[in-house]
Parts: sequence; structure tokens; C-alpha cells
Amino acid sequence: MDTLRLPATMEHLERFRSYVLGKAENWGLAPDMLFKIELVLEELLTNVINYAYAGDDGGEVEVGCCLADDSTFHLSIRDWGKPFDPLARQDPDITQGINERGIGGLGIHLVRRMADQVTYQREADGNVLNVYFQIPRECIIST
Amino acid sequence: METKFDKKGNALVVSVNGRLDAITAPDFETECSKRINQGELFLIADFAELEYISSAGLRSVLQIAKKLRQSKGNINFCCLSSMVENVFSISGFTTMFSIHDSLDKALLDYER
Repeated sequence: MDTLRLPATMEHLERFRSYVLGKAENWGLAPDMLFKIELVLEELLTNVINYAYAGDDGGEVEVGCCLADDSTFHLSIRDWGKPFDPLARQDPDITQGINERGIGGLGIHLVRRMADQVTYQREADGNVLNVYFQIPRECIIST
Repeated sequence: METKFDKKGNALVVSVNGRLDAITAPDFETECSKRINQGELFLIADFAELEYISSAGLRSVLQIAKKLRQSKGNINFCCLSSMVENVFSISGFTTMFSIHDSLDKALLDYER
């Protein structure tokens, strides 16, 4: 899998975004799929920056993606920060009104709904998230 | 991301052009908060030119709505693209807010 490794800062979101979307576009994925991938990437990267590294400077994050087979887009995100499993977070109550609604937890809720499968592993020195998107036949423009 | 403000009757229309993501959402919140601090109570977010929204954008929308509620104001929305509407829907924002398919309907909402 091709990967891109950069310091985990907000300034690098755009580099990661164009890296992943560039590949996905090359593989002929339709705008609907690109949007889901883009959203999941942003949510998971901002989690790494805000929680796994929690404001620490100097940490890096590595993003990789590939077509796992003809119908699966695989996105992988690795960091070397403190243990942080975003999937352990409870979904927000989306039926609450404006006053009651908390402002947290929406990101991972969106990730769960946009991706078909998300797994988290704590490895010896870091966090690894693997995200899988099933690509409907009609979402492949050209291969 | 660019915001444009346009006063129409009692309502202040804020048109957003571009993306509401982790980078730009804080600016959007600051711009709107400034207008609310100046006394605006009824906002309409015109999202016709909004290309993309993430949870950071949703959080800024929610913060603005909470701030308006404190002063008995309100915010409604119009002209969401299918992508933005999908994110709103998944997050429960379509039931929390009034969402219209045209600016005229959003304006009428405040005249009733």
C-alpha cells in the first residue's frame, strides 16, 4: 500500500486530502464515494491531531490507501500517539433538541455511517485504523 | 470558504461559498457570532454554494444555533446540496432545524 507520512497538524490536512482523493479519482471512483472518503479522512485525522496527540507537537501520522479488490477501497491511518480508540466513543443522541445537544461525538458517528467497516488496533507503539468502503458498481466511472 | 451577509426584512441571510471543514468552520462561527452580538436574531444559512461539510462545520452550526436560542433567536437553512443534506440527516440536524428548498421559503418561515 502506498502511504504518505507527515507531521500531524491541521496544516497538513489538505496534503492528505489531495493525496487520497487523487488516488481515488485515478481509480475512477464517482463523486459520491469521493465525498464519503474525504469526510471519513478528515474526521479521523482531526481525531488523531486533537486526541491521540492532544496538542503535542512532533507526532506524525501516516495515511495509506489502496483498492483491496475490485469492489473495496481500503483507507489506513496510523499514528504514534497515546492509545486512542475513537470507536470506543458512544454515539451522540441525535434526537435531542438544540439546547440539549452536546457538541462532541458527531465526527465518529459520521465515520461509522459513511464507511462500511472500521477497525481499530493498538499496536506496540501506535494506533492503527483501517476503514473499508464497498464500492457499488455504479460508483466506478472507469477502471 | 467565503461568507456573504445580506439583510432581508428581519432576517439576516448568510450565504456560504466553499467548504465548512476543520480549517474554515471556526471562521464561519466567528463571522456569525459577530453579527449575533450586534443584535441579529433571525439567521438564514443559504447553503446553495456550500460544497462540503464535516463534523467541524456541524459543530459551528450548532454553536451558532445555541447562541441564538439564548437570545430567543433562530436559524434556518435553505438550498442544501444532496451531500450536505445527507450529513445533516445522518446527524439528526434535519429534525432539529427548519430546512427549505429555496431562500423565499426560508424567508416566509420568519414572516409567519
